Amino acid sequence: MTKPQIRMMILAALILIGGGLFYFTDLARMSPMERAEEKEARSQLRAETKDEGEQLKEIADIEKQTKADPTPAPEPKVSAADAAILEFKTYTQGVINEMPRLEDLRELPASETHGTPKVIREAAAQLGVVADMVSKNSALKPPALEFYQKCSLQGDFPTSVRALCLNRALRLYAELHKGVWEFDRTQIPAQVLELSKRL
Amino acid sequence: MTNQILQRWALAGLSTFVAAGAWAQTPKVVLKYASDVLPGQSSRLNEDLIYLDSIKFNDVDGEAKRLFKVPEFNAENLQPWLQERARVVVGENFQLDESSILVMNTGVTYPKPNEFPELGSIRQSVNQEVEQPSGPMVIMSNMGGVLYLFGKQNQVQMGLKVDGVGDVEIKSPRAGIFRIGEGLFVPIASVKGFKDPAARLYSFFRLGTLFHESRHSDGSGKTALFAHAVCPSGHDYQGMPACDTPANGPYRIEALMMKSISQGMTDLNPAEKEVLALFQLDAESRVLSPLKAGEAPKTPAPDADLCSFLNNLNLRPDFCRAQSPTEVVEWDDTPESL
Repeated sequence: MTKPQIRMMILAALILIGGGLFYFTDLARMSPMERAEEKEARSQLRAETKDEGEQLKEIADIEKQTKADPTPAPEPKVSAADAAILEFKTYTQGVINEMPRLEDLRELPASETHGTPKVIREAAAQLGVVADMVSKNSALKPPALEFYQKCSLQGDFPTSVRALCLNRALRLYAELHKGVWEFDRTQIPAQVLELSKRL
Repeated sequence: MTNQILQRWALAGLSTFVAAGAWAQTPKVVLKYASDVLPGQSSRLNEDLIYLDSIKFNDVDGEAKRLFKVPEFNAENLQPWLQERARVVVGENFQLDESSILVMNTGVTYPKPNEFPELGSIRQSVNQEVEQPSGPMVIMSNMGGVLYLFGKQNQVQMGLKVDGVGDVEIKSPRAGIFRIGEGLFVPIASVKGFKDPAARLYSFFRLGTLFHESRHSDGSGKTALFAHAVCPSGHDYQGMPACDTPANGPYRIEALMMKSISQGMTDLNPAEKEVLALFQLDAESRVLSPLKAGEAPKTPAPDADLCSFLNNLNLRPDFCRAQSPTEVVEWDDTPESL
């Protein structure tokens, strides 16, 4: 081995040791929560750039390091983005559950059906909250699309509600997938489709 | 110190001036209120009418302009439209009996004397109520039109004695006598953020109702009052007088109001827009006639409706292709009159 080669090897070893020290001292300065987030971020970064074998090895290394760490392990944490999606899905499931059914409309006294019935007004407000949530967080668009698709396919929902959902589903699908949602025409009556085109 | 005092006086003076200005503001549509109308209700309705003057409408395809028969669909033209059809407001406890009903002339010959709308559903057809735990609550009804038809049926000219207003002659369905009740002022929904009756969404709802009821002041003979039709079997409101045969009846009028407000008020938040959208669709779902296609907008509006949006993205789905024309039913809205 020549002298320049030996120098290069020493330099490389120093860089590796220094990098490792920086990594672990940086981790040690952080709170357990920050540490968990940092590890997650770093492992994600690696996962994107290295092959699967390397990823698994590094994850195992990090886990080993975490076990060796005397500070208590952080509670399993859901990221803020995941929490928002979870909250949104829970809310929209509630909206689906509470949505008026056709039988609710047909049981109303005639005088109440003259104007927009209270059950439809409540549904409008619920859908308003959904629209508001989506407008504030674009990460909610994919679960919102699922919600609107499900809502538009509900055969026992009022025509107006289904039409609104279909409209929103088609618009969101076009935005997210650059195409037209090929919904099952036998599942969505013509009057729902026609009405959805008015918005 | 002196400066501070002067500033406070100036501020106080300015506030008083602004408050006095707001108080002194009167709506361009003048409704005469019976003495039994609760003060909170009349002032709220007047505030809505003042607000109407500032609402921005956008009638993308010109349909609203065509059906309302106005030169442009804006607040300036909608106010006289409303004034021709709505004049007197009575409270929900107004007694319609011998003490208030006046027979002003007998043996009167009415136009189209043998032509009447289907009277069986007229009362429910012009009367909006909401169910509450305490029982049905009046939202709004067009009493003037019903009294006109009653007079026509009995060949007498009717009138109504209204405390606080005086004697009102009823010579046409456009007598414009409306009954309002607490149902017009209850919360739209129990969802958080939707409970403030002073919010503009409530004004849109009340104005939409007012324009809907005002359409019941139109028509003649069989189309008098633009009475609602019984919804057919399979419809969401099947068996109830909650549909319109023509495409220019009260439900379409209400839907066009909601749509043009939603398109015109650019500062609406997504929740408000969504509520207006469902109100529009609920009203349009009751129109039994196919709708006449509106004109293409003069300026491209990629978000005017679903198909404009999809076509603008070059997606052009088959359901957005032009369809063969179907027969559109629209009634003559000219009111009959003595």
